[in-house]
Amino acid sequence: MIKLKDLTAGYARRKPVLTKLNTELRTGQIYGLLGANGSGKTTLLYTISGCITPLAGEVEVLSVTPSSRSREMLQELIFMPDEVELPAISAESFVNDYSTFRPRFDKEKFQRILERFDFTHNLKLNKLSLGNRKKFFIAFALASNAKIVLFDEPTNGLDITSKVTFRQVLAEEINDERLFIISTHLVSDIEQLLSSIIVIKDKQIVVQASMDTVAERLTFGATASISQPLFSEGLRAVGKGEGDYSNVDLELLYLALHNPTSQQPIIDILSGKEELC
Amino acid sequence: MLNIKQTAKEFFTLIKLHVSHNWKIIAIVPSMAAITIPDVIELIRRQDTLTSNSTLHISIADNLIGAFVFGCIIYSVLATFNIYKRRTMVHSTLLLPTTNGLKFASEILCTAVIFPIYLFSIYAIIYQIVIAYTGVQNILVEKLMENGNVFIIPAIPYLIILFNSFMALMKSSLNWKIAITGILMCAALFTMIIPHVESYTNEAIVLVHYYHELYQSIRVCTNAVSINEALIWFIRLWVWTAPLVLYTWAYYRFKERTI
Repeated sequence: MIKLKDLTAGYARRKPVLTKLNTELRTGQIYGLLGANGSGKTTLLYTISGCITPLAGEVEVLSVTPSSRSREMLQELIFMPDEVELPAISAESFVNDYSTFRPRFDKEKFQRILERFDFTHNLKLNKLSLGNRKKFFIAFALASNAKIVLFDEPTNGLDITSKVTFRQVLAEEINDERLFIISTHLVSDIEQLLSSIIVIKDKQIVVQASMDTVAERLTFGATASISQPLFSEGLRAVGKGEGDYSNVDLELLYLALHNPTSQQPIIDILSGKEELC
Repeated sequence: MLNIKQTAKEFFTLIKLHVSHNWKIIAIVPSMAAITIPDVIELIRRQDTLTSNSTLHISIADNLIGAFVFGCIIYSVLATFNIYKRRTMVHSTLLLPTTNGLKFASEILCTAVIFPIYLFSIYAIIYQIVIAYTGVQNILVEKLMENGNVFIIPAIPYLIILFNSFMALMKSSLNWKIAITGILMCAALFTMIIPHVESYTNEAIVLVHYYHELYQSIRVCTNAVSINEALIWFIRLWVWTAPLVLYTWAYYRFKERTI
């Protein structure tokens, strides 16, 4: 559904933010896009959505180059930016105006999702708090029934209840025809939800693996229970898979991937280069 | 093949979005400019009295064309204004699922027809109010001139750019190149305008007003009687439009990578 071939992206040719990315993202998955500040997560989302054109290489979204911003492609894609700025109109006007462009928009679903978020505001959209604007746009994005939904820091600004609702709603909405990409720093908010992770570091995708693969190949637990940890932090540690199926601790994995000594072994294990015991 | 009904619906919705997102800012500038129109008329009257016995020749058509040009300028300013928000505004038309042709056509229609009419309507209404309340056509601008502030009026579009540029700088996520370009352009404008304020007022040249200057420049350039005259007006046109041209160039140059 989304293909990146030697993709170099950024805002200036001399200083690309991402270089030579190659990957393929499939439907039925919720991808977590992880990386440090400025690592290029948002740039990648901009490139996939067609906001910016690649500096080199190719991007294909539904077999189309997204920067052409074709009607057919845009109908199947919706992007929720980190800073959701909405116009000074009512929620009803927004839905009436913007659903015009989305033929599969489901107003009932939209209302249902808003109700689950306890969103009952009558204010103009630009007067809403960040969290409420996000709730509103999450509902709009999901109700559009677009096949590809890109979320940039969706849980930033949401209260605890809304984060839970967000996870529930996304889990219900994903199906074999849809693909969600969530870029976030708040990994604990979404780790139960993800089916795959993509970690960006040093302008590259250093890890792309399903959560099942991560759980099979790596073990997460207390330092004492892992004989030879690849990386430990406090009482938590990550080691080679030893047959146990443990809950993935994404925060710990992220830290391990940013540690010079444990980074390469973990990448090798997850990519299958290193055979497990 | 696009359904005609759906296409029409999308087109009118795009127009509605353009208007609903921009009406406030568009309203401010003609409102302020309208205050100056009595002065334009008065200056023409004075000039005509001095040079010949010709009558007041500023016509409604002239004003409409002036408003049209002015509308285009303001819309360009608005476009630059929007660039700062496009990155984050989910209601930007950039990613709306419709054809690029419809997006372009709706922008052109707004720029060429709707906004100028809208501008001129507000302009005319406020002009009438100003005359009704003051009774003297040029009193407000005379006051401004007395205080030496007349250069502020033609600089309003640039003040908007300046404001937006600073706003852009305030937000770290926005493109500093655009912001710096905006500030440099404003600086260039003020450098050009300030030395001329006195001569404009002393000579009672009609074209102290930005929109009118631009309109006249275009008109005289295309109807010049001699090469020298054309050249002079071409230089004037350039002086008055250079900041906007450069700014617009910067906008399009960085647009793709900035949005």
